[in-house]
Amino acid sequence: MPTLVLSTAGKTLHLTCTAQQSVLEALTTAQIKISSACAGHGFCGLCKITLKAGVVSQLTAIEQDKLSQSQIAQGTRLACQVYPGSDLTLTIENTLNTLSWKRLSSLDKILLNEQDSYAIALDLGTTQLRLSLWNLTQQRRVMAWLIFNPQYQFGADILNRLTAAQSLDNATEMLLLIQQAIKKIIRVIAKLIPLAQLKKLYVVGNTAMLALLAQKNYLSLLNPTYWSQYLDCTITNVSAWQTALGLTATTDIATVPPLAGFIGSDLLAGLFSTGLMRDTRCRLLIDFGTNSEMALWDGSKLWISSVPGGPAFEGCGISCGMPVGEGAIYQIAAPSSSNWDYKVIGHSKPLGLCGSGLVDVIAHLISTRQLQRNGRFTTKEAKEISLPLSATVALAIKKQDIDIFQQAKAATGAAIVQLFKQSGVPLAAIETLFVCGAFGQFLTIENAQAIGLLPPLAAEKIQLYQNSALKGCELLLSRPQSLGSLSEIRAKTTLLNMSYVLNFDECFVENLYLQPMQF
Amino acid sequence: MLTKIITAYNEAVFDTDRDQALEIIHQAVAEGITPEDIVFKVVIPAMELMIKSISEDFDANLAQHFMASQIASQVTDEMVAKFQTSPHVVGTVILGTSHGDMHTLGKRIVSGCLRSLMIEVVDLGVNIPAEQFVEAALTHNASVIAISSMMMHTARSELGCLKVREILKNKNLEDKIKIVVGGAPYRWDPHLYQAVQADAWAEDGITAGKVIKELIMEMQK
Repeated sequence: MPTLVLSTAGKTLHLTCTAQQSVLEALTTAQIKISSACAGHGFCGLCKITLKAGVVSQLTAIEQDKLSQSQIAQGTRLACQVYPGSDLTLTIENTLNTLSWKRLSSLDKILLNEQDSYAIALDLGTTQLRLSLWNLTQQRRVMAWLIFNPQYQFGADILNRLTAAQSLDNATEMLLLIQQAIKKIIRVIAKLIPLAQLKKLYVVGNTAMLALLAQKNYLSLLNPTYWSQYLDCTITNVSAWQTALGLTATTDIATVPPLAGFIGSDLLAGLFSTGLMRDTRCRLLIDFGTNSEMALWDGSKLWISSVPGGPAFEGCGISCGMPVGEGAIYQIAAPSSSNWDYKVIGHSKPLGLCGSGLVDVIAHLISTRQLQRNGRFTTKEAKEISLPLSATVALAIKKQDIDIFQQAKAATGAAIVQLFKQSGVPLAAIETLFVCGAFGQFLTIENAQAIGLLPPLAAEKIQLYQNSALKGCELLLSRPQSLGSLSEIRAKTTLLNMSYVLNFDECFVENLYLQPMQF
Repeated sequence: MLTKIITAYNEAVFDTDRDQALEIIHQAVAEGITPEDIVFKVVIPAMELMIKSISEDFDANLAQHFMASQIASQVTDEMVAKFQTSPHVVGTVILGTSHGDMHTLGKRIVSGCLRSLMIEVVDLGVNIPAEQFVEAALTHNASVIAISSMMMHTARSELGCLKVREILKNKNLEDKIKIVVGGAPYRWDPHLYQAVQADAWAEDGITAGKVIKELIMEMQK
């Protein structure tokens, strides 16, 4: 049996692999953390490895599609496509750091004491978990953390996770992964406050995440009939949860109920924290993500829709893409067409582009006429364009990357346009547009508007609003009576399922063009 | 003159410049070219050219297919309305996404291509029960049911293609009505179409136009 010699995180590991196993299967079996979001089908392009030595199967058509020429020249392959023909020496390009929580906001020591009551707010996202320790007495945040959703290995998007959950073993495993992640951070919290002072743990999230957490009704979400209906995601076995998380019986654990199958309580929490419905002025909230949600408040009624944006906004399926995290290029300025300045998250060398970096790249290529508004490269024979970042950063964008992005953008763009059409609200009536989601935080607004990702509103009306769901969850911890107003919100809400909106298709095609959104 | 129009139109479609394409067509009509010639000598060959280039080009861009097929179907609709006599329709297809599947967009390319190839399309929409597919095929005297599924579980579902097959079998309609499937899961697994008991599958919207047209021609022999 071939041996894989793997250098990762400063260590060298030796794994065995059968000739019938792909390298990805061998790595996953050995529980090596590697980014992968499509269960080895070859669509996400995230499981990049670099071969240093050894004989392997030939480059597949999928790899030619997903890797740039410079990546191929460097020996980069997709682990799911590679079968060993001898012992191999390799490194992993995108390690998935699911093991550790990272600081989201710093510790506020003034809020720590033995007497105050505390609570935990958790925003359980498909891609990331955001969790904060909340001082209930003083109604302020002590500290917040984030971590990649460890369920990622079952697929990047909700549908892949739900499909995997058709096996009970997988569903149980997905619950355990979340509980283990929470337990880790509770050990940290236990050093800050006495756990007996922890009164509540509230979870907001999309309906699928909550249903998987509650281990009920999740398979109903595979049936569209339930998308517009309320679905019970209540945690019933609270004491089992307390034990699993290492908490005392004083901590109440609950999920905040979603509005409907495709409108989770993360969006509801976002409505609270942004104050979207606080008076009669019109406001719009867009939460970009694997699924993008949008809510339009017309002064008396709330219009909500959700579209599968595709995971492109999270860097998934893009040859040079990666999720927001260490090593991701998140912003690019183009003072000249041959020399771009970039900003990268953390201190590591740039590894790829996250969604907002991709938006900047596309806008720059359009403005320098290297890319046409229909998504075609101006140089017709070109299959990819190398990005002029620096001598040491070899990143290129392929025409397929543009294609995938165009489709994601068109789906959200068309939904935004239709939301305005159906509600009858004129664009000019919007007082504030809140752009939420991890993808939104680093967006260059004028670039996003130039390629039609955001509506053409004056820049001062647009707020990049971070952690909307986590902040909303904290508000709900302090004012649980707000939960009572959920039914009130429900009564004011019209859910728009774009699959049933006439002319959505035409509108989608209009929004494929990389140009400002047309109303 | 027609050659010049063909070249100019092909270029406009390649650039997915709808305004330009429509202007070329409108000018051609003003210069006396019949709507029939525009559809059969300009639009259909352009579509077939695109089918050819896509089957040869691995890197084909889906966003541009959407745009091009929208142009083709818009021009065809406009011209067919001006036909002297109603056009000879090659056949009729019932189109929809399978039960439980809400993805409307894959169908759009198929529909645009088929209509520009003079095949009548009855688009039932999304999340269509198996019974409705068969009923519609009987009502419209269609020879093909085309089922689009964008998710593995809806492609494999017992309420989807498998159910349509069962109904066709029970009603003894298998010689008269064929099933074509398409959508992402069939690309992941090229044998999936057999597992769900379809007669044929197509890799993308534009090849679907070709596959369906060939199937109809075959049945009419």
